[in-house]
Amino acid sequence: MDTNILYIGRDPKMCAILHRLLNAREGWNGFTALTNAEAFEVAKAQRLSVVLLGSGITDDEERVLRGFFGTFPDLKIIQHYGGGSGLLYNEILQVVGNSHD
Amino acid sequence: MAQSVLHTANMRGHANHGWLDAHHTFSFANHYNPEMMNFGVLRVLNDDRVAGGRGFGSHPHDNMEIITIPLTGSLAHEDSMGNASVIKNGDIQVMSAGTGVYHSEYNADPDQEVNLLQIWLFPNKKNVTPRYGQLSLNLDERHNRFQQILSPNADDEGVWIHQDAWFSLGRFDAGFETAYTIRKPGNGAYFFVISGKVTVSGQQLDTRDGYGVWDAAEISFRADTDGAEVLVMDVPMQLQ
Repeated sequence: MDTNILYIGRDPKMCAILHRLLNAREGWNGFTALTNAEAFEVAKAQRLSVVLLGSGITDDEERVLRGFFGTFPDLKIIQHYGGGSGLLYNEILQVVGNSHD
Repeated sequence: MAQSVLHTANMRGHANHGWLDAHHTFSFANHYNPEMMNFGVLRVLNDDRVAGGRGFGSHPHDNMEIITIPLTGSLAHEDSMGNASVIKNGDIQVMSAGTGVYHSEYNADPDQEVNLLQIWLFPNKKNVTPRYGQLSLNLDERHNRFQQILSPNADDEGVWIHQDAWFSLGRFDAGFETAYTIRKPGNGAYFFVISGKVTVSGQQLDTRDGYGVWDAAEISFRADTDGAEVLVMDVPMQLQ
């Protein structure tokens, strides 16, 4: 079964890049959200395995996101650092394993 | 009691894209080794060789302290903050990516390869305003001493970053012995041998080996070859 991954960040250009990078990997489906409301909509429609918190999310917004996504069993919430391809695959592989390699 | 980790040069990840020949001390991009992810907040240590005239087109970064040290050749940088510059051996460049920045990096020379170290540290504060800095260092000040090239303080020697980290470079005569003093309790020191052979805390190291030591206040150091060059990265062992 494919791994569904949601990236949440406030920069549209960054979201577009992360969307492309996530979907370039076999076995991964990438989704992006610019707002918390968009993120909640994705969560209703998809069974997510990983949520990546990107840049520009305030501490208060992060608390709301962690509160919401923390109720999903087996869902991993991780902070994405670096913006882009450098650490992205590593961050995800650390929590979902390397079964697609 | 002091603890340590050894990463020999041949343990590094390697990716050769033709125009880019990269060695990754820690897992990076498509190289993933769960045993070599980081040393404290030191997350990326890439040893990149970029062919003449080639480079990295505009790409984003966020929430990372990015330090670039050219070892040979020269590197042209442009970013979304309006900075455009060329750095060469003897310079250090720093970028706090914070809320997000786009930049490009190209070999400024059409023919000669550039060899650079690119180092990423997790920041101690997320979503800072992006900033850029660069500095030309006095190479004489690292002869038989650890020359500070980076710190957390804007008014201190070297460039500064959003992290309680201190970087030093040294070039040593064979047989020279000294000790490195950790700058802050809770920090560890990662020694990366740029050239030559050295012994750190009793561990013999060769060119491009890395050796991290923590839970120690002072770390013994000896140069085993003439002109041995070492980069020391003194970093928090815990992410704040």
